[in-house]
Order: sequence, then C-alpha cells, then structure tokens
Amino acid sequence: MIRATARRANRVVHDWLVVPEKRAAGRLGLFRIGYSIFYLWNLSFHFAAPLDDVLAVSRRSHLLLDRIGTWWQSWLLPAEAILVGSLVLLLLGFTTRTMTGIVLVLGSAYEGIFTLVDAEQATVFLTFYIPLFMWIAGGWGDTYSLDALLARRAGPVIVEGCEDGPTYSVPIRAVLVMLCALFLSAGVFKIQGGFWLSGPQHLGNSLLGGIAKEALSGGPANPLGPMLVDGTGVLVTPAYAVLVFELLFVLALLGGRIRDLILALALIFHATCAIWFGVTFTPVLVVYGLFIDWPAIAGRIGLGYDALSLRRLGTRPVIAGAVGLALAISLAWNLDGGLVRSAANLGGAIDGRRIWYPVLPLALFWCMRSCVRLAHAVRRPRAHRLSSAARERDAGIALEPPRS
Amino acid sequence: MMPGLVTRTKVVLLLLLTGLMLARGRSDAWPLVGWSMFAMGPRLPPPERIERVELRVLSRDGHEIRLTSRDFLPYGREEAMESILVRLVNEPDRSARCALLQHVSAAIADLRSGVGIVQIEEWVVAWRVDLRQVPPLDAGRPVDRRLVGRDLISACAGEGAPSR
Repeated sequence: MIRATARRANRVVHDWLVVPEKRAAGRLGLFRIGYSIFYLWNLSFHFAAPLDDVLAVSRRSHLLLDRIGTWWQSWLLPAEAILVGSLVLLLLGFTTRTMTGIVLVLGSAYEGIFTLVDAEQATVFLTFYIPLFMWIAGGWGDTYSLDALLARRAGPVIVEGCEDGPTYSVPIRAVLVMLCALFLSAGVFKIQGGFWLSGPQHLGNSLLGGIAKEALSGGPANPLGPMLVDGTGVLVTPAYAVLVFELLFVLALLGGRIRDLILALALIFHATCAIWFGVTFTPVLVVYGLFIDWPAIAGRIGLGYDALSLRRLGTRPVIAGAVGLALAISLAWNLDGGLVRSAANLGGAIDGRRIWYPVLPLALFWCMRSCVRLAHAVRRPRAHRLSSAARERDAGIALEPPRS
Repeated sequence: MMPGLVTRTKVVLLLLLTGLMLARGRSDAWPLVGWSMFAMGPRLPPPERIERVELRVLSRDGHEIRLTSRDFLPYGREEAMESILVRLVNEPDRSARCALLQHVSAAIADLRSGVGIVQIEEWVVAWRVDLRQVPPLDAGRPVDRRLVGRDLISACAGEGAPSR
C-alpha cells in the first residue's frame, strides 16, 4: 500500500515536472543573459579585498565553513576574478555548462563567505538554486549563445527558441518548487513565533526603523510613517494578508494564469517593501525573470532569434573575442579604483533599492494583465458553450425539437 | 537521457527540501536557509536618533578620504561593518583598539588599492528622527557631528597587529 502510494506520488511529480513551458528553450537562453548581467551587477557591490580584515574582526558561524579553516581567505581575490570571467562567458553563452558549474561552485562559496559577515537569505536563488538546476539540465546555453552559433555551424540546427521539451521546462519548474517552499517557510515561521502576529506594535516599530533608514539613504518619503506613529492597528489586516499570501503561494504550482498572478503579487510585495520600508530582498528579483516569456517580448521589439546569430563573423574570431573579453573584464574588475566594477552598477546609480523603481510599475502591469486574463478564462467556458449552441442553432441542429 | 534528467532533478529536490526542513531557519546553514524575515528578528523601539560612524583617512600623499560602512559592504549588509566601526569608537582598551584599527586600516588599504595611511579620524554623525514628519529626517542636515578619536597608524605599529 505504501509502495503503491509512493509510486503514484512519484508519477504525479514526474508528470508535473515534464509539463512543457511555452518557448522554454528561448526563454532560458534570454534569461541566461539577464541572469549573468544581474549577477555581475550584484557582485559589483561585493568587495573581496577588505573581506579578510572584516572577518578577522567580526565573524559569524557557518556549519560547513567553520570546519574547513581559513586557508581559503587568501584566495578570495583570484576566486572573485574567476567568477567574474565565468559570468561574462556565461552571458555570451560560451562553454555554457562548464561556466554554469564554475558559477555554481565559486558563486556559492563566495556568497557563503559573505554570510560569515552578514547572513543574506535573498541570495539563495541567484548564487545556488538557479545555477544548480541549470547545470543539472544543461540546456540554457542552447539558444541565444555562442555555443548555439558554433553548433549551428558544425551541423544542422539542433535547437530552436520555440522548443519546450523537458530539458528546458524541468529546471524552470524545479526552481518554482524551491520558491514555493521558501514562501511557505516564511509563512510557517511567522505562525511559529516572532513579532508578525504577536501584536502590530513590534511590526510597526520595525517598519518605522526601516522608514528612518531609508530617509537616511535618500529613499522616497513614506507617508505611512506618521500614521504608524499614531496607531499600528492599521497594520493588522495587511499583516494577516501577507501571511495568507505566503501560505497560499504554493498555488503557483498550478501554473498558467494563477501562477502569473501570484508571481506578480509577490513582485509588488518585494518592491513595496524595498522602496518604502527599506526591506530590500533584492537578489531574489532575478528568480522572477525565469517565469517571463522573454522570446515573445523580444519578438515584439524586433529582437528575434536570428538577430543574434553573428553570421558574418568567423568561428575563431568569435571564440577569441569571447575569451579575450572575459579575461579583460575579470582582470580589470578591481583595477583603477574599480572602474569596470563601477560601470556594472552605473557608478552606483542603480543600487539595491533603486533597481525596484522600474520593477513596481511593470509588476503592477503584469498583475492587472494576469487578473484580466484570469477573468477571461473563468468566463470563457460559459461563452464557449453559448457560442457552440448558437453555431448549432445556425446550422439547423437545434438542441430541442421545434414546437409544432 | 530525459528520464535521467527528471530523476536527477527529483532526487536533488528531495534532498534540498529535506535539508530545508532539518535546518529549520538556521542562518548558519546557508544555502539551506528558510525565509524567516520578521519572525526571528530583535524587537526594537522606534528610533529617535540615528548615528553613523564616518572615517576621515589622511593618506601619505596628503589626501583626505571619507568612508562609511557602505563603502566596505554592499547595501543591506552595511550594518555588519557599522557595528565594527562602533566597536572601534567605543573600545576602551588601547591594545584591543590598536588591533581593531590595524584591521580597519588594512581593509581601507585593500579597498583603495594599497593607499598609504598616516592617520584615521573617527567622527560620529547624528540625525534626529521625527517619525511624525515626512521624511522623518533630513539626510543632508545632521544635528551633530563630533570627532571621537584621532589615531596615528604609526603609534599602533607593533601593538595589537593583525594576526594573519
């Protein structure tokens, strides 16, 4: 009986994982480019050079890193340079699977070391889950990449952007499972303890602290501040709404328009917290890009798959250019006061809070569009039945015989 | 090949989800950490005053460099460096203070491509917070800016040097 249940559960999980995602191959290819740019931007704020001295003064514990000593601290700068170079090659899509493996190992180790200074829960998708599942599947370099260009030159076209087989759909769905698990954990932790449900006063105080911190960083004024000072009762409903949302986030596993709506709402939540309350969970932003139909958007703005094929260039110059660019950027990352590093964040113009400014209106648009589509989907079956009946009537196939 | 991919993914998912449940929100189990935001944080009163430490570093070529915790660690993580600078400002024991100063000056030198440091001044900059106002403080107008320490790096040489 137990074995039969386990087998059935395994079958259900298998069937769910292999459900095709629309244009998954193209989506992953374009997502890989955005992911690499976002990672380089995030890395541009993380300086490896002073970390050794900071850790000598203040160091938190870590289950794994505490057991392997401190020999690795002298390798931080070379590791940072290799990580930067690998991300450039990942962006270009050259030897993509190897670069994904390097980004997974070095990026996780590098971020793990930063958690010795300050633990950051938002980085798990950027540095660990996404490269892990992409490395296992190994398909995000099959489109919009130099690998695809070289494969195309070597033989017939192997992968088109519209393909949606398991190689491309499974990693997207696996990442979604982890996202649902972490949202669920957020809800469960809030129920188990802390100040979320222990009275709005503590939550209000925490938010007021964030508002003051944001004002110090030059963030936009939050008109909610005085309201929270006068009374935090206004927070009760939003606090429960957030809790319910986190617990129900698993409904995103149902897919389709419900998934779009839930993801858009989560983005609105993150952006609101970051812009007005100083609760920046910024590295998590990248994971939402995995669920957007980038090929459809690229097609609409005239950036079709063929636009990136670099047909006129020879194979050797393409490879030499890619490797040379990666080497140049990784070596120059910290030179001249970090000019290249600084270019990655436009001289600090795009920081962990400001990046949310364009995200909020886009997430609102995505949310409204998902609502409209969901409403249409609910109405459509009835309309479809009615129109079928009308067609049958027009064709003289009445559902009921005419009365004489 | 395809069944292999799905099976591998299922096994990894199972391991990760089990690890998440076993870690139960421990931050030292990264990357197997749950999202415990607002469930495990300290309960602090609303702030009435915010203070930040500012370092004014005099380099060998006579330039003054102003640094805050944000220059060492990225946005969102700067509080860890701020707490180190606060420790530096409040440390009463000379030897311990020298050790801290050596590490901070080494971090500055690493950050600024090996700049030679002659002296570091520690300033505390304060803002009054009025939460009934929007915005609650004027970042450009601190209410207090006071010098709390001036250290010649040469005076600390050999005393509490970093043990690396």
